[in-house]
Amino acid sequence: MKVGRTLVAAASVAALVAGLTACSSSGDPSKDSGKQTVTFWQFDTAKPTIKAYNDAIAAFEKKNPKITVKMQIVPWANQQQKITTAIAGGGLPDVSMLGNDVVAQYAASGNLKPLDSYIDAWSKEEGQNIKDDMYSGDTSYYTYKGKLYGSPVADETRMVYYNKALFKQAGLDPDTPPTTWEEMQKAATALKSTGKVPWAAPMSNQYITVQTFMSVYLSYGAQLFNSSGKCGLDTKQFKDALTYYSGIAKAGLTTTDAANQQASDLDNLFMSGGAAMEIQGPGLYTQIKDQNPSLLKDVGIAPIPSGPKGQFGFLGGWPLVMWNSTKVPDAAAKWIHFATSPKGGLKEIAATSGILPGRKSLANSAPWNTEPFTGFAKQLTKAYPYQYPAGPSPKMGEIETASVQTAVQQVATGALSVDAATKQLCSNINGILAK
Amino acid sequence: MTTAALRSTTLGRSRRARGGTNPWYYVTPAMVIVGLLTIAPLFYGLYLSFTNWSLLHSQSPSLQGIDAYVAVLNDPNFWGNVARTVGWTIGTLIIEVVVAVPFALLLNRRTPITGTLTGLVMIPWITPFVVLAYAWLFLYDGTSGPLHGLLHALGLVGPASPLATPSTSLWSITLISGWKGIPFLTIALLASLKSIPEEVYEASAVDGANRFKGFWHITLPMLRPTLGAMCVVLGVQAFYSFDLVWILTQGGPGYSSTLLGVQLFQTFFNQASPGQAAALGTLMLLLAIVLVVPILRTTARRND
Amino acid sequence: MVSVPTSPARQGAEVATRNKRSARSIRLLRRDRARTTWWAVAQLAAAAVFLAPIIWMYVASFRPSLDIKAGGLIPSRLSFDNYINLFQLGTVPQAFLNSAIVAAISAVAVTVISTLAAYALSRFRFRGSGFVAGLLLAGQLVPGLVVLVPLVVALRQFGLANSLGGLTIAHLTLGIPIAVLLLRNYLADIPPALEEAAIVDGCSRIGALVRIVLPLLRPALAAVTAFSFILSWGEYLLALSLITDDSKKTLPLAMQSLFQLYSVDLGLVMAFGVVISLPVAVLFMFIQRSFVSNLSTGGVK
Repeated sequence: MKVGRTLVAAASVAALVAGLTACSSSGDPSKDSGKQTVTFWQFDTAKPTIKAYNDAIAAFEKKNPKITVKMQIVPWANQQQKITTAIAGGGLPDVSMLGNDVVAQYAASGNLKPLDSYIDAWSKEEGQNIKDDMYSGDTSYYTYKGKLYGSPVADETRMVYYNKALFKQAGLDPDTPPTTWEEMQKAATALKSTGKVPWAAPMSNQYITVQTFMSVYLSYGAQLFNSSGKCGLDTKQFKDALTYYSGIAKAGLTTTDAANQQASDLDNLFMSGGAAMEIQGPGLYTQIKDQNPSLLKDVGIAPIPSGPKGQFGFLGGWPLVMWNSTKVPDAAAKWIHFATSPKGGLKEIAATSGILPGRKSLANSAPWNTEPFTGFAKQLTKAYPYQYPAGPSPKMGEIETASVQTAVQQVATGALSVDAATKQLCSNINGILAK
Repeated sequence: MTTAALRSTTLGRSRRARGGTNPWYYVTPAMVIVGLLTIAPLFYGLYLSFTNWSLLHSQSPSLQGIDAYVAVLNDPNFWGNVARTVGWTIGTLIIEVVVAVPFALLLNRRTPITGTLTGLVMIPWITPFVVLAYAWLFLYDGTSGPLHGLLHALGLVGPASPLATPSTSLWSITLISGWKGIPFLTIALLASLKSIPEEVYEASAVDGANRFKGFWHITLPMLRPTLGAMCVVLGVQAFYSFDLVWILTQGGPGYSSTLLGVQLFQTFFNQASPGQAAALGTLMLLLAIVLVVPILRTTARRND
Repeated sequence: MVSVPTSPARQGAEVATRNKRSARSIRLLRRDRARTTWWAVAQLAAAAVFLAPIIWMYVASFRPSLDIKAGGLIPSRLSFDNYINLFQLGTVPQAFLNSAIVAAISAVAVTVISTLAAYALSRFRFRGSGFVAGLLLAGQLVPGLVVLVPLVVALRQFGLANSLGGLTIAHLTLGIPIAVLLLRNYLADIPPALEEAAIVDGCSRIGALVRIVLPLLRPALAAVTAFSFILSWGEYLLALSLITDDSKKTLPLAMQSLFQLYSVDLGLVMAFGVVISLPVAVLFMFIQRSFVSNLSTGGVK
């Protein structure tokens, strides 16, 4: 009796394990139902963006009843680790977003599928040459060895969001926001009297830090790579920029925990009226509209301040890419086209999530020809990559995760002097370049 | 006594008993699991460590000599991480021992609530690291964290969260790590306290020894083997820590809380270099052996 | 008031001494009671300080996020809103189910495998038994991080990465060393004569194990299963390294994603913490006694 029961139990466990393994490794449900599933990694965690994509997916599935798009949110802060995990262990999506600066890296490692033949077909479908409708900056970012690997979703740059009510309270003129980094610091110092955080400036080891700080170092005349292709940051210009930016933390002009906070913490602070200034992209405007519309009347948006060498905005942007491991390339391509085409879902996605679409024809139409988008579009004409004036580097992903923001964090928290942090930063970057 | 006698007859007969007497049938499943999931990966890792395999440059590993080791040892942060990891391990053990010994003595007093409390006190140990990490993240928060408020009032930390300050980030996480390990050590000590016969204390009381002397000369020596064994287990756990630091600071600010475990994870996942990560894993194992063997030797000697 | 028994005079001096003695023992008893109360208070205070972070988390999970952020340890209002909001997020029930499946299967498998091994190690003396015991226990000294890279790479080659099956298999290593250790100690307390008798009566060795030993071992099996369950339930590193798909995320991963999406919503994050920790805490309270007493006889020796 008891032996029998034990055997039954053991057998059912074995069956369960087998079933589990079987169901989880069968990646291709297309065979049994004729339906194809496209997995899609989306990196933006803002609620309007998630809603925008869910709507687009619904519209797409209605048009293509045989395809299901399974969206998964992989936060920007995690995507590098998730992608590596998936490359090492399997489980890459069919389609994903990708930071513009790492497209070359994954193209070089052979993990991406070139999209040229698809894009040619889509051009015929749309009746226009898609490559002509893309911004030239994107085209160069997404091309590796003559092949195009990304279809642009958005281009992004950052501007200064400021709270006019707090400006008034601090005795500042809300209609003349700071135009240089010096003025920005002066305004922040004055804003201290409001008791709020003057400038929610990130000092953590996350992307948002380098995305903000790059506008400072480029405007001080510092360059990531020197003429011989090595680290170019060990210069007076870079050290001045680092001294300036970390000084914001040292003078108590940003949040007390800025060295260990996520971008969303800072965004939420500004959105709730707890910070007077923040450098962010157009998405923040949409988030405020969505979550705290009463603040909108006090929100001013000003161009990125200038430094000694001029004004340098952040050049962000992301395409959709197709991973080489996909088993459903045609369905995946259909989704990419739908999500990145003005005739598909791009308009809704870009409008709802509040970003600038990566297609010129769309960017010239409403709502992008109204404020605040016109301001961002204008800023975009003065936006540059981290490594300006150098071109895309296949090592960018490694350099990005391991370097500039760590240096900022170390100096801002007083762990290292500007000189020591710069020296360490360059030895790290050169180490990666030498691999 | 009697059990020993019984056992000897068992052994005598079991050899003669018919069905299922081959012990290897019984141990094989466990051996296969441990062999496949622990021992084989250990050797596979050793192989990978000689390949310098990078996911961004090649799809499969090929032997490359000691390149990966050279790269790891040349990493400017490697020795700093070693020092932090050793400090963290010792710090964790100190917190565990210093709190768990009095805690166990206290709980060894039988009161109506001892049983319930002993169970409750185990909660930090069985609560997943992820959960604890987020709770402590908020406790340490610079603007509203209650624990930060207390530490700040005592002048131990500045206005920012201790996690966002390089001089305090490592020890503030060490505190959590030690705290989580305390229950396990307490229970182990409690068990070995229960095995100390009352007569030993009575004898010492007759000798006129006071309570502290009794603790120092009788209790502590009795606890020593347990302490030694537990220090090895808990020390190894601390040495290979990753979760807490990764969730709380990702090794920052700067490198102020980067442990070897964090470096290993970053090497694998951020730099996509399994070869170098495996080399680092091998070096960590060697270091762990170097640290553990002396402890084992001392406890073994004391046991004699 | 306790009355001292009076006794007839004829018992004289003997009784007097007895009375004196019992009066003394009652005084002692009273003093003991007072002492016990003090010890209990001290134990309670120490436990409260020690558990303060956990208590804070449980309380915070019932407070609106704004209240927690405003500081102040004493809540002014409590509600279940955080829990309601939490379970409206589709990922939470899914992660709960995933964790339960992985933890349950790995716990049962660990128990079966470890019982067999522990039985052999405690009942047979055979060549290589020392090696086997050493090897199985050595697993305790080789943490996940050491074998992480090769294990992930190997599981990928067998198509088991990013699957709950692969994670379940990887989790088997968590419980086996300690389960073998504990079960071997439990088994040492069961006299082998019982099985002997059954074998003499014509049972096979396995029959004796199943019919005689397992029923006696039941509390131990419960403790070991529950403990392996707890180890798997909260495991983070292997899950983080193996699982990328949202629908396959276990609770620790789901909590991390939740934090990344809703870091401002403190109450929500804390409610998730409670949802993850409460089941294992309750489970542990059930097995606590037998686990603790056996760790004492076993873990230490």
